[in-house]
Amino acid sequence: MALLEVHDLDVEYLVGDSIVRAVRNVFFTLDEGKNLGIVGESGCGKTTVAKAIMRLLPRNGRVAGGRVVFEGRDILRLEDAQMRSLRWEKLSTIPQSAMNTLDPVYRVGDQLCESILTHRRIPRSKAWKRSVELAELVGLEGKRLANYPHQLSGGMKQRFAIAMALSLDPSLIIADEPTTALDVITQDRILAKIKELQEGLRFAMIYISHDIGVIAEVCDAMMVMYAGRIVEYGITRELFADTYHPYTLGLKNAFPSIQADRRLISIPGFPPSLVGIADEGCMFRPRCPFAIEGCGTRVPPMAEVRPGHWVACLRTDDVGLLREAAQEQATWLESAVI
Amino acid sequence: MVGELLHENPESQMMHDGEHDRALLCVDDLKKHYPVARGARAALRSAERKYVKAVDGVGFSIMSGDILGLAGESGSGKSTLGELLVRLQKPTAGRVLVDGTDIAKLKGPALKRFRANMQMIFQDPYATLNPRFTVERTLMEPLTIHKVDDMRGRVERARVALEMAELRPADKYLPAYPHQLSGGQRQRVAIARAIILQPKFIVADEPVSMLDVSVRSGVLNLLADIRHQLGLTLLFISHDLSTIRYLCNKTAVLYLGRIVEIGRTDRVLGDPIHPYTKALLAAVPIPDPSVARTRLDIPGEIPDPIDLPPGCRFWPRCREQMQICREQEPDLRVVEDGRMTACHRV
Amino acid sequence: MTLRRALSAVNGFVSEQVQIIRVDRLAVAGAAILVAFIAVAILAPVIAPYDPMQMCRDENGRVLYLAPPSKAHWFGTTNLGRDIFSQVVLGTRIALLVGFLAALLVTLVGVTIGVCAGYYGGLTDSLLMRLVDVAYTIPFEPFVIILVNILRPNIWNLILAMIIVMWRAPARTVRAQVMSIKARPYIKAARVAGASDVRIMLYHILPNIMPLVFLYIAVTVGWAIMAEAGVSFLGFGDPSVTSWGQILQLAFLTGAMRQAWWWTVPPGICITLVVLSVFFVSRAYERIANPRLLD
Repeated sequence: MALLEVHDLDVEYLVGDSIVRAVRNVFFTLDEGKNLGIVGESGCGKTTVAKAIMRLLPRNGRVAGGRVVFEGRDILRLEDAQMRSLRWEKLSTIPQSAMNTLDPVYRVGDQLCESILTHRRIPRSKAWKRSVELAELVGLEGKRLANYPHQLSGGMKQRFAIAMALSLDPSLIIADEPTTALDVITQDRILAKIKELQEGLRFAMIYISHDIGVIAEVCDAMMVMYAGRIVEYGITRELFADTYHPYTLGLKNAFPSIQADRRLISIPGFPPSLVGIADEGCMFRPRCPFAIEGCGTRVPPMAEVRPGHWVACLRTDDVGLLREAAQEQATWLESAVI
Repeated sequence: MVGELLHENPESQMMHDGEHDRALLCVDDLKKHYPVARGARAALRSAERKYVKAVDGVGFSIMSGDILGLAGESGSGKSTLGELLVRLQKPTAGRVLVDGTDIAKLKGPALKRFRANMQMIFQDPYATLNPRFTVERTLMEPLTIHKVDDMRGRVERARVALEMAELRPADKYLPAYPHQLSGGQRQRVAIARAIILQPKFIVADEPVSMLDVSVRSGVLNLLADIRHQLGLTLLFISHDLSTIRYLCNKTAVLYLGRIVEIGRTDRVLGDPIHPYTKALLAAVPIPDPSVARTRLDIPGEIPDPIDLPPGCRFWPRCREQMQICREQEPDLRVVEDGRMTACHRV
Repeated sequence: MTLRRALSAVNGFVSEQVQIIRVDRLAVAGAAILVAFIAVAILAPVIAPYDPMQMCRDENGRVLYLAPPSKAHWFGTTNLGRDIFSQVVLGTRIALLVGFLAALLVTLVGVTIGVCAGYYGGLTDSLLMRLVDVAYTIPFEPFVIILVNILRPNIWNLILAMIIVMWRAPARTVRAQVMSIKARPYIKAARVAGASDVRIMLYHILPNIMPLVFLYIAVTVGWAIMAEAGVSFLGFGDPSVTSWGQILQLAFLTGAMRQAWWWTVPPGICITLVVLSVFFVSRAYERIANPRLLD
């Protein structure tokens, strides 16, 4: 049985008088100890998916449909109290800019202790001991617990956020852009440390990022999101080797690599607003150089083009042509929409 | 190499002694130290003042037409260096020479000319434009300050600049306010503002780090294109080596306020010599799961540039350190034609 | 020809202000109230039925001490038989004069100093902030007493006293905001483009602190009217004028506050209305100054 199964997740926000359909028809499965990466740009809905799973949506957000089955139970149907006991014990999160969410007036050790004590009725001394253990586990010296957040570097604060997420030995951690604000060497070390911890503690991770490089290295499976929907989902290696969706092709083109020598091609235009949209075809259509007649009338269904590899595109049959054409700068200029 | 695809003068060499006069910009032992505020007790004790040595002895030249990449992590001093070059800050020591003239000595009309020639693009697209100015007003301002043309001519120049920044049709963007534009569009307006005076040199401080990926490549290509069209020289500051490799024909690696390696990009990033450069490169994730990356695990964190130990500032984290590294700070030495490294191993 | 151009310029200006204000209903209400008060102030001698200092008598010749509102005296009379309505009407002049003039000048001085201190920093900032510290040590009323003993007790000296002391508040907050704006990239971009310090302060920094400026103007209007009342109470006000504050103070002094509601309610409401109206109108201007609010 998979650790986490998400089916047909729909999330909406109420903004003023309009409804923003931030996430639509998202599905995936995650096994114990494995990593899933969610890739997309700002506004694609990846953070919303994370919040929906944790049931930490802001007040104007709500899950409009779907199921989130964690360890066999649909956690969307749980009572608040039950969810609270689940949160942090089994499911925890490293939120975006975690280093900025640390309370600046308390020592980091106290904050770690407090998060443990909120969930477990153990004596404070035991909680402190556990905190020291956790700090050392993530590579921080025990004495750092006595520091205030401003006395720590970005890398240390991030390690500390990881320690907090691990504090109750969860089986799933959702990490939202955990290394984005960090320097590349620190990022490298944190990623290595997470890998090491995973091998020891066997927790699964959902890794949200806009950096395909990191996802490519860290995640077993990945999901590309655009404007609230999945456009491509599958095993990372396969997804990269045999890319199907035009957006994913475009993303690959847009990423400079320290090794490759090719001209960067950008996708013209920018991601659409999600306010009050109707289901009128593929969201990527305005920027897609390969759009055809049908793309504007119906939302392309997710099709399993190979076992475990899903794509939402009407032109998967022509993928060979698409891949070749995507390599040419000229292809992307034709769909020029500024 | 893409760097060469994007540049017109692949033979432009690193400066050797005696070529000072051909370089557009020359930096000579530049330093910027910020005093650390000390409490009353320390002041009364006349304790030795401590300084944050953001830039601590940097020297290099940029030839006309180069795109020099300045690579470094946070705390390396790269942004400070960029601001020193356009005279947004005054150096504590050292000189910046543009066309042979020390910019610190410029006054009056000569200073104005300097300003028209040296521009800057900033990192945060959401704070780079005055929120109360329309795009038109933002673009007109440099022209008004330098009394270029008349009103009609200025609007026309603004249009041209917007078109060069690929914001078309220009008339659609002129009356817009920044909050009506996306991050990528704002950054393009900032680029238009930087080129409108037809400068010779632009410092771009992490211009794409805060943009979405699919927008980034467009802006990077735009920078390369306008450099080519306008014959500009660029200093491209970034922590992202992949971007530097893509755009820049020369690269300088900065660590704690000093250059540790400088030379042609394909050499510095293709075959690094300095241990720090090697570590940086080894840490860059590769967007291709079929390629395995060999990590170089270097210990420690970047220290605060306040209490630096004697000797090479990298030695506490260096795997290849020798005894002399702890005692003496290495100078930049020429290792091959056009490349210099500051390391005792060389 | 010049007359026509002047008229059309005024017309343009007025219609532009109307455009700004009509967006916000509260602002329209505020503006209407202010216009009404301004009209009253201008036409005061015409509107006021009695001389405010005149002791009024009824048809029998008896002095109308503390008379409640009636047809002859809409707001009733004071303990000395003076028509309150006339007093309130004439007090409008003083209120608007003191309120607006003081508010504008105090804010002008405070903002200028705050911007200079915040922008230049260093020694200039230290010196100006020490000046602010000194200003903060000066309590307003005692200062007025001293000033009035040196100069004559009139409304202009009172306004002068307000300016000398009250610039300190906007100066400090404006300085803080300026310091934060100064570090923003668009300011650096302006410097790199060659903008002079004055240009940056006037065109880049000032427009971005306008909300704060409007706020101070609005708040100071209310404070100034009340401060004038306080000073009058102490007996250092301008004896030749009637102001709302004075009306209130007299009512308080004679102990008539409890019985004669008609004495205190009208000036109290007037003060409240003016302060609120200024606030609402300044909100509309803040919208114009902040393009983001226009959408």
